[in-house]
Amino acid sequence: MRRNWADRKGEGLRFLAGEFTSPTLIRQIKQLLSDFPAARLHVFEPVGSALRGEGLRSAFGRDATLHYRLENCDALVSIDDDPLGPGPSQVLHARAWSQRRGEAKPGQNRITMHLAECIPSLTGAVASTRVACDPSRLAALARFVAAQLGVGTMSDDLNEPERRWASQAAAALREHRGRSLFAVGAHLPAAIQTLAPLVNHHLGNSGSTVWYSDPITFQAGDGSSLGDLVHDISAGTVDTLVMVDCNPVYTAPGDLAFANLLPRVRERIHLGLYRDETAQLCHRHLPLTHALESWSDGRAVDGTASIIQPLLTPLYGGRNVHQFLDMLLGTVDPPADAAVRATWTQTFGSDFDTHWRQSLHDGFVADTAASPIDLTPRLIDMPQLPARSAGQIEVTLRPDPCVWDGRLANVAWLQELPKPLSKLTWDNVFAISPGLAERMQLANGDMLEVAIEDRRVSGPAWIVPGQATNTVGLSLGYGRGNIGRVATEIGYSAYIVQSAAQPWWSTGSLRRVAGRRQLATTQLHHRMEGFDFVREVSAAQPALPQPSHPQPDLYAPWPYPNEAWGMVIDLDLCIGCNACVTACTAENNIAVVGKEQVAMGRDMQWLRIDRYQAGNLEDPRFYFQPVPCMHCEKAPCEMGCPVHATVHSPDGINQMVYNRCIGTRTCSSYCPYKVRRFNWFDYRAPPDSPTHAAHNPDVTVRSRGVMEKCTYCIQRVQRARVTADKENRSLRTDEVVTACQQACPTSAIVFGNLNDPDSAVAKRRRSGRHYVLLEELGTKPRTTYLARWNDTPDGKDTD
Amino acid sequence: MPDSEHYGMLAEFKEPERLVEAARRARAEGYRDIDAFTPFPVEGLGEILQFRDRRVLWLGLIGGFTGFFTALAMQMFTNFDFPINAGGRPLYPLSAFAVVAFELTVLFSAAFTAIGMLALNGLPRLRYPVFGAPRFHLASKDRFFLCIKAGDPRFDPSATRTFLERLGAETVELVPA
Amino acid sequence: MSVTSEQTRPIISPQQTLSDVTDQLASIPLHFPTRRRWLIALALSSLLLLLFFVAATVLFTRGVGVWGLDIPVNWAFAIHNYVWWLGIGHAGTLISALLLLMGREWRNSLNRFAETMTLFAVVCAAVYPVLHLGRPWYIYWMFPYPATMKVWPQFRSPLEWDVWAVTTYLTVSILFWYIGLVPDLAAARDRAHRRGWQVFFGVFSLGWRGSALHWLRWQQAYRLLAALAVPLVVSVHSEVSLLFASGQIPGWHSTIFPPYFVMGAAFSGFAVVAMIAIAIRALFRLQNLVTDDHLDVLGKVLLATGLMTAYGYVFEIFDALYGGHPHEIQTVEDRLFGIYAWSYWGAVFFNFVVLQGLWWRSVRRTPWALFLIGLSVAVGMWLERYMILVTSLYRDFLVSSWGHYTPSFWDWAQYLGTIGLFMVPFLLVIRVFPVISIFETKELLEEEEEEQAGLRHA
Repeated sequence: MRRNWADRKGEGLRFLAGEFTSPTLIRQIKQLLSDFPAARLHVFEPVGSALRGEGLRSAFGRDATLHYRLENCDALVSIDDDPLGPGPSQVLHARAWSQRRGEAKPGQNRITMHLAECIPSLTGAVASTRVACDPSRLAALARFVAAQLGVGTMSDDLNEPERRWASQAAAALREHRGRSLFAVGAHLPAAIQTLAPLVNHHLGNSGSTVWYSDPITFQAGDGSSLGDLVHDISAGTVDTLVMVDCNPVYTAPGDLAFANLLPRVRERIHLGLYRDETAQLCHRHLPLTHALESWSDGRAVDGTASIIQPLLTPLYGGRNVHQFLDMLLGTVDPPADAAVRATWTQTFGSDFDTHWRQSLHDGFVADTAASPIDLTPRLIDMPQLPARSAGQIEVTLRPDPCVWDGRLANVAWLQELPKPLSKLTWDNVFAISPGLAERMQLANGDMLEVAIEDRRVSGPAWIVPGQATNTVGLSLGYGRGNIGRVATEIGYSAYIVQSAAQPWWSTGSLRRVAGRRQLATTQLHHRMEGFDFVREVSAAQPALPQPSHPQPDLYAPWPYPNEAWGMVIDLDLCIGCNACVTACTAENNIAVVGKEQVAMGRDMQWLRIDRYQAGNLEDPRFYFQPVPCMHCEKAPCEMGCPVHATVHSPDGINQMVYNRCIGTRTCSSYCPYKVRRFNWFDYRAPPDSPTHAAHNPDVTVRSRGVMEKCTYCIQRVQRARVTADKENRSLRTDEVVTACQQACPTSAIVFGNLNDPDSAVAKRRRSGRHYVLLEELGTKPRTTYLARWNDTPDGKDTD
Repeated sequence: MPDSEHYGMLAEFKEPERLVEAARRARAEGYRDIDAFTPFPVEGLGEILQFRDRRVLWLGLIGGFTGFFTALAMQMFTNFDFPINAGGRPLYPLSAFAVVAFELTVLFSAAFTAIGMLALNGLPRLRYPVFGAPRFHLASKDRFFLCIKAGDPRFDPSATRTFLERLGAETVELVPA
Repeated sequence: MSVTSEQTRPIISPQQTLSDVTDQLASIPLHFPTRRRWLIALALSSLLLLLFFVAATVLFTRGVGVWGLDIPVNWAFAIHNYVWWLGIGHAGTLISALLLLMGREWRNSLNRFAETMTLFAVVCAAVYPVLHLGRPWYIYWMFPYPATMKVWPQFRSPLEWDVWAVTTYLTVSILFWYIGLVPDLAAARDRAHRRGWQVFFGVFSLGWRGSALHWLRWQQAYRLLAALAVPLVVSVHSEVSLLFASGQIPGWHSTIFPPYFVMGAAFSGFAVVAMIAIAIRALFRLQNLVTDDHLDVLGKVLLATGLMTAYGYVFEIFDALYGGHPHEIQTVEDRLFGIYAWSYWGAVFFNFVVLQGLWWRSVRRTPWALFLIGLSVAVGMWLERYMILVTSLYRDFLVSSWGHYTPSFWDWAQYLGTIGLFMVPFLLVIRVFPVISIFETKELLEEEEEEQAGLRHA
């Protein structure tokens, strides 16, 4: 094959890959392209930075990558940008953002956020002001704000709520000039995105809250888009297509009809993890190892390079992508790490071994972060977005918060993970506003059909309070073909109706079709109904009222002389991102039960994030509240268990003794917080399943008929004790970190020893925002909360 | 004269009042070792025959106390042997223990009473001399029997028989031992 | 009933002789009438019993998940049927024991099959704590024995109390029933002609010979057992109510629960006793022994206990509103207007509305009317137990854990199976043992004759 290519100098040879940052891959691709000069690389990432890159190119006249520094930001105004939402930058942004929240009160060093968005997002959920508007209004909003700040001309008329929001937003930006941030979503048309660098430059934010660098991902240059490839295939100039770890048959926008075009290529080779939709149309599928089984490298969102080493030898054989490319480059059966070593030999130079070991140990290569570059933007003319004609609706497409663009659809954990705002599992939906639902007389689960031009797709309706009235939200990542046991036949594929020219926003039509889909959600009711589960404080009243006398108790307090474990969750920091839930699932061998069981109310996740909505349907406020086990000192569950299967440890953990549990379920009946989960069937994987390799060996795998719940990661507590014992010392302050705490990007969850006054939990407990959930029940929980700050401008309250 | 070959003299009466009267007269006559067999308990018969046995009730009381203390001991011991913090509740909550204590009081009392009653009555005893009497099966139907036992010092086959017949018995029979 | 009317209106007709009564009742096992209807009933009940075993097998092999339970409604059919059966059982004990102590002789025609009903209702109740366990093969861990894990049961738990309460209740019921049965078994032994029956009754009557001394001790034992059984009934069903009242769940955590449950138990039990009395009376033509007066009294008792249970309903709502606890008020609203309001209003209708017919004497004395009212009460109490379980659990404190519940096919199968589990032994017992207490009826007859004689001489 190589000889064939060499003969023709790569004429007709094309490579297609997703966006990548890997220095080794970059080196190998460049080598390939120089070996075969007529060959070309195309880059297509379903949810990538193409539009953002185009916007920055328009603004600066060169390629660049945009970075935020939220820790420096006092006021953030976002036009449908979701910095705290799912994506590669979520952890970085959330961590930075959390430094300006929590103990930072309104008016004192605190970040305020103003969002205009179409579909409620995580950033919108914690924003101070929020306006929901259809996508076609976003351009006008952006221009209005920019014009208020002296950039560009005023746009056409905004309606009253939009105008009010935009004025407040512009005022905030102006007030905090130099420490404010104007953000425009990366999926918006490039022309609108150019406003962001302009406004930020005008306000002096560049370098402070926003900075630019050379592009982090590999820029393949002109003619490298998927559209170019499609054009060449239609023209018949593509002879061989090597698709590297991408799945265009599934993810290409529907109007490109890639699946129909692909068979025209004479030789089709696919490198990928799964034998997916694309592989099934190819001559050859070369199985790649999983990222956790591979030697590779990459760069983080801030440019820091990391060398990826495998955690285990490949379970099912296969080779990593660099081995395949080295074979294409002529090496016969290269070792797994050869390519990566070769890349870094150039950088590490003579002292290779030291640097190599250090980088593998640290997880990143020191001093490789991207450096800021100084850029000045230029104003361009903004085209008007086409207005919507009557009877049409606006359709937005978004990656799914759990399975992203579909690459993770076969991961059962992610299918069962409740999506942050809808709490749905195992399905994607058409998100519609309450107004639209009322107009069309729709209830959750009714089947709808969306048509964009001549492409159609149908799916179940889901009413989303706070969504823009005429917008329908579609989620990517579902409707996969037959690619695995988990992902098959779930949901609809939004790619079918996606348009290549305008991938993230279209106008289309919506109609009701026959049928209903049963949807599995983990939370049925969304209003707090006047209760105070999530409490708020405000600048006017910064501390919660404390009871004047201690709660009366029939029982003497039980002494806890040594450690007293406790957990404090700061609700002002929680963004509902689900990292804690996923970490808990991974740490504690939690079973996946499938859609039907979740619909029945039998999901097994020990930690849940309750999401409440308050206010009116069109413009609600959102609240997140992670609820693990409360580990009550006066636990009703422990009192109810007839066989001592759930008891209290001397350090305050409510223990669940699986091998003593006979499954009376009294504990769950008595639990006021309903944090317990029961194994209704034997949810374990079969004995020969590879799932067992994924289990944490420190945690029991539960069988049928046994209750389970959050254990404050007792295995970690015990391991810390053992280590301390071996080292002949007592436990250090904050030595034990639970899985949820470890994963939380904002440090909303803090766990530790309440008897240690220096521990983070003890400090949090002393806060004026501290409160106990369902305090009046007298269960004396060890898991407590810090109230959220209400920093809306008019001090809007919960209902 | 006590007679070891026979069990006693069985007199059959049609009405319970007759039986009661007969029993009184038999006591007045000097007989002491008397028993009666009736289909249901007849009022007054026990006093006349001087049957005073309250051991069943005592057994019930003893059983009750046994049950009570057994329950308390069991519950206290289990918490003493392996004290565990269950719900932050006290290790020896008498209010919680009271329920099982009450139940075991009743259970032991009932068991002592029932089994005690049977034991004191000598039951089960499937073979007994009176079962041999041909008309005795009516004792569970509608006839009332008085039996003067052969072990009584004043027992005399003919005199006792005459005496009973004069009392108005329907039949009088000598029951072999 | 005033003393005067008791004297002037005998409960059973004194025209019968003791011999008649013995013959009539003892002959039932020995020369069984209505054989065909009994066989049909037995066949149908056996099918239900078979369903019971099939449902239990599916349950044990696959797991509790075959039922419709979930989080938060993790107790539904199994527990509410348990309470329903146990409640029914209590009436038998009350008829036997309480009425004995109160000197109400009219119980003598009813107490035998009422006690029998108790036995099998308690058995049906007692299977549920085993069935509903996630790991039923470890149920013996609820009993204290020196274990390898060195752990003991946890005695603060109402479920642990339940083990002892139900064991005690079952044992005491068996003892009470059996001790009361022994003299009648002796009567049947003496009437039997076939060798098989003679041996059978001979063994089980323990050689009872009706000795006056034995009767003395027997009466002491019987009365003491009765005196024990009445507080036992109150304690057992109060304890059952503590299964719920010990938890803080709104709608459960109320001090009205123990008396409310005990009254409800008596209510439902008397309803079933009425149904059984009417059925047996019709089947075995026992109208002379289970007279219209008996039905009349049963009707009055049913009405009385029904009104007492209604008091519980009223005060549950009053307590919630008076206390003002928002979660309690939410639960009251859920019960009256929520998605399971049908169980609440169904209970109200079947328990109390239909019951009002019993104010009329003619209704009380009409067998089929009383039977239907009894059936209605049984259904109403079933709905009430469902309402108590499900409406409290499906929505409790945190809004985020609000859920729902739908019983599955196996839930229903298991429940209908327990009806077979009740009916089959019950039918067998009334086939084999005297269905009305013979000697006690004779006792009653004798007393009435005396009274009549006394009146004539007066």
